Amino acid sequence: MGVYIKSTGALMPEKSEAESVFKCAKFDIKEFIDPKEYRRLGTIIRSGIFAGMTALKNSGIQKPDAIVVGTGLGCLTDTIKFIASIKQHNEENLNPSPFIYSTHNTVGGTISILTGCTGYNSTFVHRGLSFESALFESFLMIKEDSELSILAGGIDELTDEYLAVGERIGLYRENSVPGEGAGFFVLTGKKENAIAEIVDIKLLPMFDKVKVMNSFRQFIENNSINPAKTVLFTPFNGDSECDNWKKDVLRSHKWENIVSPKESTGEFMTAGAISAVLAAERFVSEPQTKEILIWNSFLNMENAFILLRST
Amino acid sequence: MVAKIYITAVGIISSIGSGCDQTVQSIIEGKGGQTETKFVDSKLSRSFPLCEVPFSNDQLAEIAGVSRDEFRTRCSLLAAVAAKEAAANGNIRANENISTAFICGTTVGGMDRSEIFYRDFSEDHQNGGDINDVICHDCGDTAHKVASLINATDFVSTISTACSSSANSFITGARLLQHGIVDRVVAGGSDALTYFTVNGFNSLRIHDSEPCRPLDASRKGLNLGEGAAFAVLETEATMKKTGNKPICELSGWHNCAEAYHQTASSPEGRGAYFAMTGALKKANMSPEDIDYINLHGTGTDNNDASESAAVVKVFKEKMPLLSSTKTLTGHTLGASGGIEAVISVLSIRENIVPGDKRFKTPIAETGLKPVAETLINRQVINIMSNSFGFGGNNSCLIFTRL
Repeated sequence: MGVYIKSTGALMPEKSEAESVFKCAKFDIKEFIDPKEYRRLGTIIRSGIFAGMTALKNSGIQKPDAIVVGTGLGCLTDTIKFIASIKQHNEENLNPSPFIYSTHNTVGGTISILTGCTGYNSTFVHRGLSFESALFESFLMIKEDSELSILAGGIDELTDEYLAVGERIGLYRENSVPGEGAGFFVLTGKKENAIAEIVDIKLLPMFDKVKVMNSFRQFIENNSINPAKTVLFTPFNGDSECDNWKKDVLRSHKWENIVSPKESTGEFMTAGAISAVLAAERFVSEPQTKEILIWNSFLNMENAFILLRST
Repeated sequence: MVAKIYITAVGIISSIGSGCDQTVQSIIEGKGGQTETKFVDSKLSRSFPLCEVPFSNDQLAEIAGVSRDEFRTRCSLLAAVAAKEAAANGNIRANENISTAFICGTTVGGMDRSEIFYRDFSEDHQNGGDINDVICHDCGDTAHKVASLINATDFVSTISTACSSSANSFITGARLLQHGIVDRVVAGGSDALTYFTVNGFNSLRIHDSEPCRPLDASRKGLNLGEGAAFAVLETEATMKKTGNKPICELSGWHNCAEAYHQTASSPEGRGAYFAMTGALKKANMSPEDIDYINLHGTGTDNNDASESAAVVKVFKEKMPLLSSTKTLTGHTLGASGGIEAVISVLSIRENIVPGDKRFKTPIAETGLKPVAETLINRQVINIMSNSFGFGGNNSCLIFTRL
């Protein structure tokens, strides 16, 4: 019983000339939600609506059976807005709106309201595994019931505060660059009209490099992956301390076709969601693609492998 | 044949006790954790009862046997205490050939430190605030640290769905076990009192200036609380390896969205209704099989009205015993699902049914009356535990005595 990507929807970031970060350009969600309704929603929720509802539109499915979202830092703008307001107004007469919208499951909750989806609804907030946790749980759910259609995605927003803190702790070194964005998928148990099959997913929560290397080799072996024929999406972010040991791991196999998606997205906790969208889209734009192995990792933290195959 | 899920050990800390024994004792005595706070830094703590754990962060570190350098946030410290108790009771050790997952539910993670960081950072981005106070801000920090602490590192993740977060940890944990992803799961959650949440609920005007009165017609709102609780989930195959005996079975569960409103529940409690009926279906049970419901029962006007409307609809043939233990622990937000799940497990183990001595007058429309004094020497077979959160997430767990 397979798990398939029926469609994708993404909000892609772009690198501006002025700033050395990847930020999402303006987008329109009028077709998904009444402007009166979305006026009070923060940027990350609007981004989630855009990417999630686009994925649904592309799938032809109006109401999924479940919605599972991953976000590393959640609704950061509204969180900071509310903390700032507590300080500014000395704990008195605060506007509840930013507090309400700071809850990290608001993206999933809002999409459930827009689609009338009363099914399973969860949000993972676990740094570099946030998106992959959401994808993995959705994957397992479809294995349980192939009739399900699930909207799964990853999303994070870049804020000035995150950049300032990142600067102070040296989060982004050498050529690594912060980014933001959203990548959503409609997953089903049906092969017909699917873009790609999700064959296997492995999440590695601990940062032990030897364990990661062994797991990577095991993943290749378990899935009979042929590096000569498989497109590899790397986790490289341009920081040699993050990238070099991973390059060493990869050197034990001969990869003919390598893509480094973070060159187009920057580095952030759910960048893997966009890598996965780019990978899925490649099956459509380059139909001779048979197999894509995605290795994602946020900085030198968690790691995950996703194997996609053409249908 | 899908594997049954068993609870073999639990750990808990809240304002009503550190550890299972103290918690059970407080429930039997009806002793609530509403207190004058010592640690949470908000002037609002003078206006509203808060259910604060009576230990400083340094004291929590000592109880858990961890260093403050690594466990800086109160959320991670509370989680460390509860998870260590569960792991000890469940005989979880390093270097065993038993793969173990850790799933933690939390709403604000390390906010207790990052909100302090922000005060000075906001004045001076370059130098304001101690950077160590912000690097542990994110929700996943607690799970990462505690998973390492108790050797449950084969699969680690964090769920944040507001007040149903840690109930959802049990559901995801059960799923991992049934798919054979890991042999064993430690599931639960943690949340600490913060300036952020105390002010957040004040901005919504849903604090009660008195100790809360869930289900009471005179209720005015919630009392915020803090704490952590975790349970060790195993299958029959796992127990053959660990030699553990089950306390009870996690026999049913359901998670659904209400799709009604970001913070309010529908008046008829549609989400609650589907969560409860869904869990019953999963457990292959009828409503009449439930002996006791540990309600979400926050004490707010909205939740208690909609939850009791749903309860009346589901249990119209036979109303089980019911109560909200938030009367004692306060609303522990992301930890509440876990804390109440563990209280449900302890109720089965100890033959008690938690009561609410403060309750006086039922809600006119639904007439539900909670258990008054905690019943002791009272065996119950099936306990239902409800957790409903902002964003319209509704989760329900069912525990069964074996």
